[in-house]
Amino acid sequence: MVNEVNQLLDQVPDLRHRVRRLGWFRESFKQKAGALIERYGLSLAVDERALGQAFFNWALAFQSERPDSMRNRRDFTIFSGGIMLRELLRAGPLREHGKGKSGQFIPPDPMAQICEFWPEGLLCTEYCLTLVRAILEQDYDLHTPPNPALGDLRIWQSFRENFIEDPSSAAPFFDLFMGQEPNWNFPAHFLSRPAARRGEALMLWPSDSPAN
Amino acid sequence: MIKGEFSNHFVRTVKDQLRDVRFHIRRSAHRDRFRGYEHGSLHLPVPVALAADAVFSRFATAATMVAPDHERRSASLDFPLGVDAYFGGPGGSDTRTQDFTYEIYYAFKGLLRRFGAREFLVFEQCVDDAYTKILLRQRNLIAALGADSATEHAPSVTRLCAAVASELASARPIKELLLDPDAATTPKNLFLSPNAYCACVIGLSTAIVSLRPDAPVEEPVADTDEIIVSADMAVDARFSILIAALRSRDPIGGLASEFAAILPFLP
Repeated sequence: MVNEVNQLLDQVPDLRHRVRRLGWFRESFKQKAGALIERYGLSLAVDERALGQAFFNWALAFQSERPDSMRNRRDFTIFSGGIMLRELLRAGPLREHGKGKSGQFIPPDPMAQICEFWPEGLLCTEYCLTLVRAILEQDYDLHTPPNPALGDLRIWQSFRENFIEDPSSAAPFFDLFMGQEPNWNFPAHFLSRPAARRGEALMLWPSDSPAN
Repeated sequence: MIKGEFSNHFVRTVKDQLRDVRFHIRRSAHRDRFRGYEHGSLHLPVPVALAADAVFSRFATAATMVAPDHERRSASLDFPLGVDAYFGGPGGSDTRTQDFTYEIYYAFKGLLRRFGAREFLVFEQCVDDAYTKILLRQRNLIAALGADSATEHAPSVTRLCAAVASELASARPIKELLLDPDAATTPKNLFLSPNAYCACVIGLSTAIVSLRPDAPVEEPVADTDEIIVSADMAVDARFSILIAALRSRDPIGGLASEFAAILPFLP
């Protein structure tokens, strides 16, 4: 079921524009979260209004950083995914609902222990990772293999602890899961990212306008 | 012949007064049903309330018969529509096809039902007052409508939709509202200012339809529900900014700027 949803997202044409529409974002998040909730037997439900709040907070942050996207459009895609993760975790669109499966019915999956530790964190991260990977594949023909950091419980423990102290830290942790060099100092600003600074030469490319 | 003796204004006022009486009767019945006896308040037993409500309902129907739009009462609600449908076509010529007051009055009621309101009282005359003010104060924006496609005039169309929201909010057509605080469908911000909340949803929905390329003007678009849900979620998420704009010195400018920021992310 989870793989089916991932494949569906991969096949959506013009994904980077679709995700900027509230209606598509809501449906795709519910689909992806529903598949993971079913797989791990979680007792979570999607709060639509919190999801809307997350979307608009992300959209406006995305819009304000977008003029600089031409410095490195590929890295801007990853940065946007990190900002989306930050806003999803801040708004908390997944709420406790009923009873989940008991331990013996949960599949023997390496991610199960992470899911047990922080289900909301895993679901939101999985959604953003799936989207960003699909966009990178569609727009840049770039295949990003799953990063070993994603299965390391200690990293998730650090992620949650840091996120509680500073929600902006969600973006560098997302970089880590994407196998990128994280920007720990100013995670909310695209221009302070190492890849954005290195990508300044891209401005010389004539057709490279801000991410449209 | 009867039509000539009543002005539209008078008929709407009569209808609103009858709605007021019916609302208080129904509210009394609700108290009886949900809360039991309340000291010091008007209290009617349910059968009496229902009978009285039926009588006033007949009066309201009679008043409606002399209203100019009574023949369209049974027609389904056309909301949301583009601004052209309410304010005229190319160059401001009078080719509008929809009665703003009638449609927006029912849009308010539809929204309140959608938000899980148990009972409510909306005054049609207040919606008409807002319409009159928009016609008077936004002549330039209305005249510019339809000169070219709506997408080319996005800033002025957005501003006109902001004016719709602003005038509706200040006309305060929702006079009474009984909400269930535990209803899952009720946006929490609706409790803060029902008139501002609904007015913003109406203005933003109208802007979405107006600015959609090739959107049909005279017919509701196919995914009406998605437009209203999206506008509702946007208003709920950005309500603190929208209400601050409404209370500022330039409410239309403030609303238009916020609408313009969020519209690219809506259907």
